[in-house]
Amino acid sequence: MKKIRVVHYLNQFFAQIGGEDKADVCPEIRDGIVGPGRALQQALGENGEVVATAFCGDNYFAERQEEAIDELIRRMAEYRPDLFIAGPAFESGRYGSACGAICDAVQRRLKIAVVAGMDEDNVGADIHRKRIYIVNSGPTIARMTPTLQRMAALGIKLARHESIGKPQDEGYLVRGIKRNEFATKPPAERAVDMLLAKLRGETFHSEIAPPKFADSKPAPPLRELKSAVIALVTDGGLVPEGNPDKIEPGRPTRFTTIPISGVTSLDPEKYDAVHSGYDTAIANRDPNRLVPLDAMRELEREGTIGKLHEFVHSTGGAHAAVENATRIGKEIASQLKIAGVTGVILTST
Amino acid sequence: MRLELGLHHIKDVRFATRTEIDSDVLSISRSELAAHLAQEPLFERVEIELTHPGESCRILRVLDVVEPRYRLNGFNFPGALDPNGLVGEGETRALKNVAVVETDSFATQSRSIIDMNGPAAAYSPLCNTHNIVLVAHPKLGADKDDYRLAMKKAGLKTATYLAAAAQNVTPSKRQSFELPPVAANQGPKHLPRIAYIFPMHSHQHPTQQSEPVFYGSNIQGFMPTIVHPNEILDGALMFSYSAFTWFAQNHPVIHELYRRHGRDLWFAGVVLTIAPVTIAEKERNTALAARLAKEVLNADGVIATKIGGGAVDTDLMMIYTRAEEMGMKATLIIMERYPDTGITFVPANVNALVTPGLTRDPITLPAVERIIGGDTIALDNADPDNSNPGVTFIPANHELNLWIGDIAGAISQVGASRLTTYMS
Repeated sequence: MKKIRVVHYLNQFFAQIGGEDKADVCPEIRDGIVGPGRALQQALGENGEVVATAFCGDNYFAERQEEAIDELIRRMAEYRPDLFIAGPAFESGRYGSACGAICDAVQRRLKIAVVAGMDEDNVGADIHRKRIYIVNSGPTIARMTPTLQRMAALGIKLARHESIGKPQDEGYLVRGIKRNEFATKPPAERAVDMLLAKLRGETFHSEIAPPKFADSKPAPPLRELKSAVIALVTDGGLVPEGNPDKIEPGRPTRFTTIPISGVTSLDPEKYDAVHSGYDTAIANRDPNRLVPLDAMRELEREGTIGKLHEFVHSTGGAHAAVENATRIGKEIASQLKIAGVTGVILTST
Repeated sequence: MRLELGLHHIKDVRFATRTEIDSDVLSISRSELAAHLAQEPLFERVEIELTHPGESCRILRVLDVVEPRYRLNGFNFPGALDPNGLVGEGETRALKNVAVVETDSFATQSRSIIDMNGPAAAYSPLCNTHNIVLVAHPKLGADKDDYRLAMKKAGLKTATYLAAAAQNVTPSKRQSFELPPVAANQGPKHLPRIAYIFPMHSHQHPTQQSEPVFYGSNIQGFMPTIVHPNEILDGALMFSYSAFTWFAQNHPVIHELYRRHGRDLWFAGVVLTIAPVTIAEKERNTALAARLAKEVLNADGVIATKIGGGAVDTDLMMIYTRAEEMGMKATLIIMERYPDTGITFVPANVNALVTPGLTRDPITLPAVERIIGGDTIALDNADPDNSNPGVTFIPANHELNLWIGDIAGAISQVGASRLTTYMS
């Protein structure tokens, strides 16, 4: 089997350049192993070879991340690596964040296997664990060798496109990504087992954990409607004809901003609904029933509300990943806030 | 009420000059069956194909799958095929290891497939049956919804036609399903009484006006009601979407409750319902369904499943919550769709969920020699930034990167699969 070519990433300290005083050294790359690379090479054995070691000062990386990543990737590409190993960074936050960021970038741009190592409480773990494999190193250097052994074993599997086992078996931090596995009993039988255990007061384990949502405090009610600026926002997939921003009918990653200045009613010829979670026929026949622009214009004319905001924000809300939905919500809210909107009507489907 | 299924374990299927079953081999007169199906005015031409487990063959655009059944003394699929009547009682012949697969010529973007060999076979029972595949070419101008209903009727017709060949043949095994009337359905005190609450359809995608789902009804405005479980097993129910009729005929929860009836539980009965669209209807129907389980079936525990998309998760959670408020214990079977989305509507009190698997889990299926039901398959544009949502059509006989959920029958929302999930 072909020997896997490995590039190893370290910070200035582990690359033996120096401590905090050298935290601003520029990105650099050297042939072969440096420092902990010896233990990594041992762990790889005949399966792979550490062909180069890349390093960068922690402060340099934190302050000029894009530049550092561009330079490191440009230099390491010359070594034609199959696998990129970063760290372990233990509890060092800047080093851990650098390991996570460089792994994420290498995986996307060079399309090779990557493994980072750091403590599960490292800030870098939180940011990057969903996109890359991170081996839990624990907080201190005491677990350097066993961590590198785990990272090497996982890296070899990834580089060879072998299937990856469960977090507890492979030693990586739970990414929050569900996978299937074969079960010994069919679901109907497990459901009956679970129900009977519940009725007998025995312990049982739900197979799906409830989602965790951030708590948000509702804003105080509007004191005065007559001066309120009201915006219309929907996750029902309203788009201008042709869907110019290409919002997705499901699994949204973005939203569209539709100008409505001077528009008194949503003309079905000019607007569409794109959404995979409901029958859009009625919304397409009369988009005002998805986003009640006609009714709001009337309230505006009567003076019931101060003013209708000049944009409608819209996304297709079916099967949204919670992190995307959260980001879309924050982006819309911040635009509305800057524009001086005081109240929002959300129409869903 | 007692249903006796006479099971014919079919070893082989082949085309021949006449349709018959001899020594567990099903022979089919292709021309006779074709003539029977060609009566449908919307079809220009009907092709009948046959494929066997292990063949390098892929069936595309799968619309529905039906197990061949024939009722010896009564109507078959009443309301959908035969005139109205009741089912669930008497003797019915079932051809095991055989399935009728309907394909939908209009559904060019459908990714519902059956592979007869390779890794898919480990996931779905429908990859392991001898499959009689119907491919109907619509007449010019045929409406796609009308065509779809005609295709489903053709599937029921074929299923009945094939199993009718078993009427004078002794079945290899008999299986009986019997529950007495509710008032007489009293088990021993020590066995918990379990009811099954079954929303059979979600009107987030409404049925067509003339679409037969339950005893020929389009089930719009359907209110929760007690039905005998045998009716579901014996052809009263044909799913509209999101599930294959094969899984109603072989309903995993009903089979499991029957299997354990009198052993470690008492099967109290079935409440059949739908998932309506508005919140008020959802509140009403879920509360009524739970009440029927409690006050009519006198259940101690309920299992509920769903058919449809994420919208029905709310109905399931309401059923669960109402059931527990009424003093019953509840467990739900709920399919997972996306690896990173989770099930969004899970109230804090809901602690007993079973997953039949995750549909969006990748699988690579090898190239095949033969394809039935279409030439191309629509794959999502591979684009990590989702900047170009949409599909690309590729030749369907190629190696395909699909999702587990694209394999017809791999994950059934009514609780059939070989899977569970873990968090990676």
